Amino acid sequence: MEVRVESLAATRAHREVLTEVSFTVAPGEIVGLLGPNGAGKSTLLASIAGMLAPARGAVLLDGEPAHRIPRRDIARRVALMEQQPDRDIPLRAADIVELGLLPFRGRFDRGGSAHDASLAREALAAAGAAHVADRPWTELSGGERQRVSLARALVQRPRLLLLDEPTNHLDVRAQLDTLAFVAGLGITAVAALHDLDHAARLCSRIVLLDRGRVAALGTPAEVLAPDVIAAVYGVRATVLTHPEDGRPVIALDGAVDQAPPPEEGP
Amino acid sequence: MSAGRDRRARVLTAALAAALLASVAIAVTIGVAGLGPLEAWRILASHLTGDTTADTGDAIVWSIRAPRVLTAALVGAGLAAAGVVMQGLTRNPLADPYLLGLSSGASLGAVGVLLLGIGSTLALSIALPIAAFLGALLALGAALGIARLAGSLSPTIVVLAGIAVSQLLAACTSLVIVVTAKGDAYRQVLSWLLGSLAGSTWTTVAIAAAALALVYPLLRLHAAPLDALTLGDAAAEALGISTRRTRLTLFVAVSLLTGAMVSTSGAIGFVGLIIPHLVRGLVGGLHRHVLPAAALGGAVFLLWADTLARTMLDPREIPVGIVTALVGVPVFVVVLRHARGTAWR
Repeated sequence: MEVRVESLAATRAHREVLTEVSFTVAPGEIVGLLGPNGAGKSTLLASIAGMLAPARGAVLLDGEPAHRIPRRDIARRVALMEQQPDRDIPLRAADIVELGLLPFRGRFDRGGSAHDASLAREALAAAGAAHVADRPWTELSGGERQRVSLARALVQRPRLLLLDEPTNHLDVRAQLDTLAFVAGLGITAVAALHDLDHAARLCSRIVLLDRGRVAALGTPAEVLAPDVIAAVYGVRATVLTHPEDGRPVIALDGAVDQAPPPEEGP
Repeated sequence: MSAGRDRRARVLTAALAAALLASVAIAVTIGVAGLGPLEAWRILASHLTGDTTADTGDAIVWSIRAPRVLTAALVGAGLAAAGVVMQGLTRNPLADPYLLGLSSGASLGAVGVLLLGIGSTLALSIALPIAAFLGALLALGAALGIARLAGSLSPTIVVLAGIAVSQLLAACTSLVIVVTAKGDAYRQVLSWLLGSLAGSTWTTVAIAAAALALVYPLLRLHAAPLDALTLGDAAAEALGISTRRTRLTLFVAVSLLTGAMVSTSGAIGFVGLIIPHLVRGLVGGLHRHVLPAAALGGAVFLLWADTLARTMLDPREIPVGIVTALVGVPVFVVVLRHARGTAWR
């Protein structure tokens, strides 16, 4: 699916959270959304998901304004893996995955058919979580919850996958597994991320947001430059090049308003 | 296994349905007047076949016990279903029509209509549930409005706001009764605030049955959206649910259900809180399993609570809300203790 964000402005609680945001996502591409907390990443994802009407500008999904598409129709094409809620969900993993079939179900279909169950199991297996199918959500680890949420998104058979901080609260192995899994899907994706290295690893291009505006847009190597990181995050960074695949590797050295540690003489 | 759990839910629902039928059959034989079970059943059968005799036994069983037992069952079913839906909509395990003030609001609405002194039984039996519905809706709006003013719709804030609204409206109900009542005001206050099924007639059966027949299928149709809402609003929207419209529809439906039930029996607590938790502990949290089992469980529970209320301190009656609390709270504590990880906490 092609995503075009054109001069988008969005407001939440009467406050303009996004201003003049423009970029496109080509079919099959994975684009990363970076930026400090409050930069507007989640709002941008909600706008792309059609949940938030633009104040100005437009979000076009294959040319159609996202917020005009009926909820059920958009849910058959676009899946959102939201940030994990910290409250208890009184359902089992397989139940949660089956909810991904909701947009495809008729009004009077009560759900719970053997067919639905087998689709859910396939998706769980694809996400590497077949073994937790019958366990309650409350008993799952952070990594398992993430896999279950991914399976729920997969069962929607989306043509666009929106991910809100998919590696949050995960241990490093689970983070890498999640990124590799998303990269291997071949689905157009937009992912809000905190970790700059993750963005460099996963995304072909990055949209760096700063207080609701696009501060930088381009390939990881173009966007993740020390001066850009300093300006947006207020952090001094050293950017190295990975010897194997050439992607940028970011070492964060300290806040810009702090003096660097004194160098010790030999 | 999923199939095993589906079967477990079906078995529980069938067992509860059977228990309900048996409970109705047994409860109509229990009462202060010393009528044997066979005599009571003969009287019921005579009404079903149209071959009745007008004596005291007939009046007790057909005009007093049968409508009372049926009203109790219907009200229990309605309150438990309302509790399930309130908890799902607010993602708040504590939300129930009583705790959030809907029942107090409904009581106030009903008492307000009684003040008008409507003479016709038919007009009153229509006006009473409608006023109670409006009262419940008002209370719910006030609770959510206060919570929003306090800046959050978090479970804690919603419950705090609900308790405040509930107390205020209960106080208003008491005040209205005490100021205006001619007879035993004390007793009336108790029966509106703690609930009583002593006023049950075939009219209250009809009101409760109509409300349940109208609202329950709508709730049942929303089982999957309710499941989706437990994941959070953004997730539910992403699954194609219009969260705003779903909430509005179901809040109105639950207010209607609660209003109708309260208009027949006053504000009865704990049914909407305990029964859903109990059922979730047994069949898990899917609404297509929880709703029918909770409705049947609520019916059985309130039916027996009321049977206790009318016989325990014979010849006096105690408000049924006292029994639901006395029986319900210890059960609730046990459930909370054993349901770790399966129920919603």
